[in-house]
Amino acid sequence: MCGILGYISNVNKITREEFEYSMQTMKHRGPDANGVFVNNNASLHLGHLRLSIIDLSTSSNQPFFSQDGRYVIIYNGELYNFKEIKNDCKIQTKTSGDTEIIIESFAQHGSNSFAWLNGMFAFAIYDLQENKLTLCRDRFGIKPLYYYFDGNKFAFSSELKALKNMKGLDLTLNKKVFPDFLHLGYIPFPNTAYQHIYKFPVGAFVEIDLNKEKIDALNFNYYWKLNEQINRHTVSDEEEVKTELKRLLEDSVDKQLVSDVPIGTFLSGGIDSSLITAIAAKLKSNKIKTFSIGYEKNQYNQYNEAQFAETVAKHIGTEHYSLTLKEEDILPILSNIINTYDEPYADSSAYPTMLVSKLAREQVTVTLSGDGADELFMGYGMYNWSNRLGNPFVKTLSPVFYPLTKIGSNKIKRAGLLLKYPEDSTHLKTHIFSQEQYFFSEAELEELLVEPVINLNTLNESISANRHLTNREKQSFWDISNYLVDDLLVKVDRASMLYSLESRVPFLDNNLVNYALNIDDSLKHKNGINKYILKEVLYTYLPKNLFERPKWGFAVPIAKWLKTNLHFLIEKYLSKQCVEKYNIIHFNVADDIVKRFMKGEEYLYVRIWSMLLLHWWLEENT
Amino acid sequence: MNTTVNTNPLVSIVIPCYNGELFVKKSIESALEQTYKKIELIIVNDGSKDKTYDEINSCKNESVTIINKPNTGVSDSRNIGMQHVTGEYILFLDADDVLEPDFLEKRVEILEKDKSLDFCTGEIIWIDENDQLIKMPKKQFGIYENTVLNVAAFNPVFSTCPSAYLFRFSTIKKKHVLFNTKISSPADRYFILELGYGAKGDYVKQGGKLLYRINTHSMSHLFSKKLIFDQENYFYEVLKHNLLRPHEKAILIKKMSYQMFASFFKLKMYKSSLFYLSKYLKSFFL
Repeated sequence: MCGILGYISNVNKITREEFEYSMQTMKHRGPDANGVFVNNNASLHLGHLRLSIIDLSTSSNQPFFSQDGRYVIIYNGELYNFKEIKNDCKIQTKTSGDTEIIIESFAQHGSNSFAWLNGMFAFAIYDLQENKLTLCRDRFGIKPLYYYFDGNKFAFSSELKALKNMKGLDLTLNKKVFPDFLHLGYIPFPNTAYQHIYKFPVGAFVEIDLNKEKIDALNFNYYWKLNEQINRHTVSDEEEVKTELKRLLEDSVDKQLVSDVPIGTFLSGGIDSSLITAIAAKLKSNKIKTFSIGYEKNQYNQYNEAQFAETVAKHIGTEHYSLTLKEEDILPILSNIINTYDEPYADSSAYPTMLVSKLAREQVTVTLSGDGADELFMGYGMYNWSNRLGNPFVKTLSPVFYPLTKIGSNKIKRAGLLLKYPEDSTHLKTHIFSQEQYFFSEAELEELLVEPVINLNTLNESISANRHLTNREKQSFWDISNYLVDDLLVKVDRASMLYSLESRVPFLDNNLVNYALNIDDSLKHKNGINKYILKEVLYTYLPKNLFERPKWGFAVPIAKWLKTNLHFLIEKYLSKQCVEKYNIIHFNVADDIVKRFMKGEEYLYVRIWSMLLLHWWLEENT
Repeated sequence: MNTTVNTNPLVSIVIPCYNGELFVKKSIESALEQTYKKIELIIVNDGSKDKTYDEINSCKNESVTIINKPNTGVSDSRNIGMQHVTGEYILFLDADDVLEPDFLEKRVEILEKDKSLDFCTGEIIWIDENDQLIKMPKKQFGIYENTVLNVAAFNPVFSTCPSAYLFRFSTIKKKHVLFNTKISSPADRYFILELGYGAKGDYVKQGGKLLYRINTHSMSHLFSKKLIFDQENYFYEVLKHNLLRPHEKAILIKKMSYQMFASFFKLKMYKSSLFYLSKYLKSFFL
């Protein structure tokens, strides 16, 4: 796991020093070594920051050349099937690392080889003979990749901050994406907060010909598409699924435990992380290290999540490290969400992820996490909403119900907002997501925004699949392609890399995902139980009674703080002066929302948090 | 050995192979021992876990290229093999089939004589694991134009076994034809349909036979869920990519719906079976 950076231009060349300056802004991604490659006429710079995980020797340092000297690679990620590829392609290697396998299989088979890679990765390969660069990213966006393109200059990087600090790039803001941010809490693919910077598509690669003076439009080729993995028939036999799922999970965890440095797991005590930990403990001969954090009990918190984790850890027999926090412990890292994520990003669970990463890094260099399971196995309540709202009967009656919900409790008011969904039901997926996550609905945004232009059509495009998908499946596949890529995996990558910790996600193994996409909906949600089949697999490792309690997330008490310790942020960033300076939202509408919140409509706190973060970010970045 | 053909175009033989240790050497040898000598062999080892690699390697010479790759299936392997082709003609030889010595000579002769032809096929003899002749096909694939529907709808008397066909490679390139990676067993059938109505072929009247191995372990001869799913995918791929004319499409839907209804019934997948029964019944009113 590392950081990569590249810059291409035949017209606007930069110096090595300028390039290195930009590269150093990502030092946290790779503190162990770094290297730069510049081609003959300096039209290309490639840079790499290394965090050593597999083959710790300097012979695996990058940029790394193919044996024939024709290709050079910079690569961020881990390949879990590199030994199989080495064997199948009969590659004779000089190192014991995965980098060499990627470049040699590319040297043999070109871009055909990308579809064979099972892992998390973003890499660039330069062909010195043809003067051509190929850039490629993994299937789910586990590893980040951003690119800058204005026709003359092309640059790419693991994090936006390197591009923001590169000489000569046009960093004009892309104001059109702010409505999306207020609706979803993140800026969705392909955009970023900057007009010329984009998110690189997942499961794709692009080739750039450096022989041409100007770079033409970019043509992305896809070596993997989610909808193409959806079979005509689902698997619905419970015993068969349980057995196969267990096999695939064990296989994935086993492959992901390969590391030449200490490895552990994040353990919240919930379903996903407990399952990963139980399997890891079973497969590893020495005791596995686990990490969790929780708040100390107080008047607001009945539970300390760390207790659940401790119980599970004890049962599995891990070497457990837990940190009990006071809520106030988060305050000093509050501004991290602005600096670490580089563009407006409102997922407050980034804070506990940062803290647990910091804790883990004191003991290990690599952790496994349970991300992806909620989307693949339908762990969220919103999947049930998608079924309800997709029901034509509910749709017809919603105009009748909606006015009634305005006079009820906060809970009913929230449900009412869910019912008030766009006329154009093609926006149902983003609507359900935004309301499940307490963000602004499209209807609210129309009142709030100075220029109410919201374009959610592309984001809501229905996937063309081989079989008829249930509403729940549609919503969960949308999550896998959007929420997971642009929010959850971004959260984990940036939070862990901030402390130079590599985080791996066993649920996103290729084979496991391909299988999970085709498990019948009725096994993912059965007898009113979400993630039913995954829980059944879990109970083959751990007793059921350890998990008989409500789902309890690690909540950051933003709502409480916005009324107390953090109220000054509202006064600062949602002041009339600040709001009118950027002229994105109407001050009076925002102010009204703040007043309603202060009077007791608690559920508005995420909306306020997102408006506040947007203005905070703008103040820091313009 | 003498060839009767004056011109001397290169023939590329692509052999995809997955766990084919038992027969692959025989296939390769039958290619190398052709009376027509101007050939290149492109052998794609599709992630075999048995001794295939050693078997192939023992046949290595200057006209043999070996591509080793992870297992992705026969269609993808043929497509990858095709990327390495430099010849004027191409043959996709299955790793368990065997060519008679004059197989190429006869086909090249016909294709060289009439440049308007896109492919040439010929007689097929069925053999078992011990090279013993087991059954003769009832009828041979003749002129393409009249047989599209028979090919599409699995009429058993029309063979689509790719090993019997020598294709003019420029036709394949011009039409951007590839093996469809979404299907495996009927991928050769699909490939021939993709060549389209315009494609013109002939066949060898005497000699130049293919020895087609009926392998009791081969998936195309066992009734299984996997095979039915594969055929179902084939059916939808043909419809999706509009490979048939409207009236032929209607006949295909009727035939395939009935076949799927029966197959899913046999698999005890009654919901799918019912779905195809209704599709079948509906087809009478279209």
